[in-house]
Amino acid sequence: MSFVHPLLLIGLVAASIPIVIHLLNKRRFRIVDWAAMEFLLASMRKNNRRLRIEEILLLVLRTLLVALLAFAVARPILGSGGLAAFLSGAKRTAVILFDTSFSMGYRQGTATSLSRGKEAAGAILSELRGGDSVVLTSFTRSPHALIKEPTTDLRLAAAEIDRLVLSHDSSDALAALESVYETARACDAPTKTVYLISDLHAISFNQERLKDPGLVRKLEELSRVAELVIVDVGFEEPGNLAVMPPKIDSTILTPGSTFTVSGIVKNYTPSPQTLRVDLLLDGSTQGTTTVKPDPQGEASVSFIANVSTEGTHVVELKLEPDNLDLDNRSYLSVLVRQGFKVLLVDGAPGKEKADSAAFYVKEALMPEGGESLAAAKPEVVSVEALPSIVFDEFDVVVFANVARLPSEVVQQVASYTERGGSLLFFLGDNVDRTFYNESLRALTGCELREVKTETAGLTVKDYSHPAFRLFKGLRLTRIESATFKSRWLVKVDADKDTGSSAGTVLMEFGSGEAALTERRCGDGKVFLFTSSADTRWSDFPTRPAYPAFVNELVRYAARDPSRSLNIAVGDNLVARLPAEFFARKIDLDMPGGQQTSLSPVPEGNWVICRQPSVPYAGVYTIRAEGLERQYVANLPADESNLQRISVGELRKVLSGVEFKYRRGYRAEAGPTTGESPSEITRLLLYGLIVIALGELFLAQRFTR
Amino acid sequence: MPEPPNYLDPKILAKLQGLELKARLIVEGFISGQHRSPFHGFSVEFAEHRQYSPGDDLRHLDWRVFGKQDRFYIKQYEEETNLYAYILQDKSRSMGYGSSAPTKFEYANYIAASLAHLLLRQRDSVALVLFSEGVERFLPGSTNPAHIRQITHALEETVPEGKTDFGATLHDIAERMPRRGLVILISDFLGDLSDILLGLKHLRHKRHEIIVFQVLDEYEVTFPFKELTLFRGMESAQQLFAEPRSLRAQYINELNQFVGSLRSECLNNQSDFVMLKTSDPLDIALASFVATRMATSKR
Repeated sequence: MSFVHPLLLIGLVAASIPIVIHLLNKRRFRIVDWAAMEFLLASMRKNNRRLRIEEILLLVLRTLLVALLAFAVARPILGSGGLAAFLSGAKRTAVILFDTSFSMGYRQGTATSLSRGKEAAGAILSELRGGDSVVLTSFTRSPHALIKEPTTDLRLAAAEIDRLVLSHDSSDALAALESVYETARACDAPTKTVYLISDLHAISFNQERLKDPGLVRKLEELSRVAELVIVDVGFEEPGNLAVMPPKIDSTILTPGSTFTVSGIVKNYTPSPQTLRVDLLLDGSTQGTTTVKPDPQGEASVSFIANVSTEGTHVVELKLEPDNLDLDNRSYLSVLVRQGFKVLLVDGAPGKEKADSAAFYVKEALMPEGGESLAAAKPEVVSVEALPSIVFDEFDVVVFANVARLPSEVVQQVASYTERGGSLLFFLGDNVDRTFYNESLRALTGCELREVKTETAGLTVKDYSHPAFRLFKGLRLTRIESATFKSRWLVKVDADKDTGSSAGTVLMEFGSGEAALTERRCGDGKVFLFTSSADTRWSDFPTRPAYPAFVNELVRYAARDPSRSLNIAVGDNLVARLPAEFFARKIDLDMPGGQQTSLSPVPEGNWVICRQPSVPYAGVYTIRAEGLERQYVANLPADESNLQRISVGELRKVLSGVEFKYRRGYRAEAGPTTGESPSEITRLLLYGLIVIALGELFLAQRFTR
Repeated sequence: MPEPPNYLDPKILAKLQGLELKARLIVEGFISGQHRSPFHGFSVEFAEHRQYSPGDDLRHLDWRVFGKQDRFYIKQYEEETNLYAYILQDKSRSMGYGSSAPTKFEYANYIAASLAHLLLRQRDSVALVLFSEGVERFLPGSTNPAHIRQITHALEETVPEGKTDFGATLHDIAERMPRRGLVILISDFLGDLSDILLGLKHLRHKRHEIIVFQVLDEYEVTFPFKELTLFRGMESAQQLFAEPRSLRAQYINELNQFVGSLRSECLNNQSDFVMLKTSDPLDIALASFVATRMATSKR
């Protein structure tokens, strides 16, 4: 037996009310001085036993009346077998796991996988009888319990299923099954069935995850404690076309910049496709082209675009509609600025300008009296000034022949690179090898050994690298024309995890010694040039290639300001704003017209606004006084590949896990024929009336 | 014209002051309600002749007998033959019970006083005995109309208290009443039936005419209580905590059996029995008395 409103059973406490009233009445009585006492005593003697029985009978009836009322209000439900089912305790719990990943939006005709899933869930509910219970969880990459505790309110479950909508996220069926393991184990129903309703998207059964023995053990245990039924509501051989998020060829955009937008269109169908692709910039179409991706292949698309104003702009690639529309749009938010800031740390200032270590770098970036080639805005400081510098205000920090750094500055630059800032070290005769090897090796990934003095030329290892793409095929501005007298010999460290090189050697000296290394640190990059940036150890700064080399390297090194503007569905949206926004009202416009407010939290010299786990793909706009910044969230790319997992593959993947496979779901029994909750309640109410009438009759009879 | 108050209604009487007044009002109210006086005829009726002796009132000479026999005979009337009436009234504590005015004792007072008034008007001798465990007060018989004041005064100043002991009391009274007469016994008779009957038989053995008035309260007869009640005995320490509705039927049955037994034993004993509730009009008591008195005079 179960109850629709089990909490109301607390009303059973009220069954004690008649007893309490009885006891209270015993304390509330009148006193009469009575003359005809003998007759009274005589009648009492003759009726004592009868009176006691009558009193107990009435008390029992009244207590039963109240208890039955509390029982009826809690709406008890008997199982399908009525009293027999109640006595045997037979009942069933259905745990429904419903895939709401965006692939479930795949449409054929008027039906989608989602609508077929809802029909299947409805059929499962219709097979349940009064007293059976339901647990409902929708899942994407993470499960979301909609009905966590088993409920016998099947109408509630049906309403929850009806309300299910597509998410913009991918799915993880294994995580969903794992999530109900505890629920199924804890459930005391004799029959438990876990229904996994899904389009059986292959990526939802990630075999890599099954390397976790803990997960495998739980799934095997789940199939032992409950019957596992996988309900396939997907379509056979679903084809899909999708466009991947666009990319641009430059991280530094200034007003008036022209840039190339490239994208990949994926064809997950067995036939070649001819597709129209539109480029939209801030919602207006900027170009249209046609691509012909091969079956199960892809095609590249590129557009030239131009931005004229500062601020964030949304680049969007749009495909013509297909059976799954959601992934036919992809987005990129780009930040357009007047320029980017470079901090030059001069480790060996000279008496003359040209003698200082940073002079040639600064001149290359911003010639005195001229304009920056790459919109860089250099600022030269000494090592002593570093403790007062806010590194986050700069896109790149260049160290020229710096002997050593204060320890607090080492920590600051380390965390700066973690957050996406880039460091470029030029060495020289000033450098303290011990300090570099002890304090900076974790950043540079190189061990400084000794200074080698021997004339050598410079070679670029890979001209396809973005920093050297400009020099490919050039003769007059060849980097190789420079002559180096001295350089530090370095050893590039091996990666702790992989054992391969921790950094990449981009340039070498003639004898094969590393000249320029690149290493990823957190979200930033660290470069080490083993010779000097000035003319003390080479004539490179005087060569025509030098300004271009410095600009290209710094531009490549500069952190991508648009990086934090582009996230994926399910990621946290994090906005770092200047401290003055702490006191301002900050709103967030979400895709679909929803709006919410963000609460800024102070962090150092900034305030951080956070919108956790963004649910939809599209454009998110942060608005405040003096601020409008657009962020974009893209769909998880792997969900667009609708390749399904076959039953055979599923049995291999889930070896050791017993399950039944159902293609769709139709109710095996007719609609619920068991007694509905209201019918049981009605029966109880009839009982109540009978007992109430009986009590009235007996009370009248006993006191007549 | 407003209707005069009915002084036979105990509730109206209870509002008046002075038992003597009440007794007079009861009797007058009773008499005025009859078509003819129940006393006319036996109080002035001729009874016998006796020979004239000097000093006799010549108005009572029977001239018809003188004309026939040439002898002087004086007519002697019934009224001259005094009735000796003994009013025995229970003054035990149980008589003090009254669910509303008047109490049983007050109602008994009305009966006693009005009968006394009626008898004294006839120049009968009326004695009063108030008893509980024994004889508590005794007013010797007198024919003086002023005797009513002593009787009413004695009744008024008596407070109902003490237990009833019918056996000892009635035997005692029977021995203390030398002349046969009319015994009017007024009580609730809530006591041992065999004791009561033995006492009555003793009185009857002494050739007294007996009329028994049992006075009960309305509640004692109908037992209308509803709430849970603690009943405390008025003449004993007994208590009973009970749901009255569940006892009512049996209680009434017990009471009726008792009253029935008392009634039938009285009749077997050639005594009259009248059961009165304190809500009953007083003329029932007087009418019962008159009927008894007339029956007695015919014997």
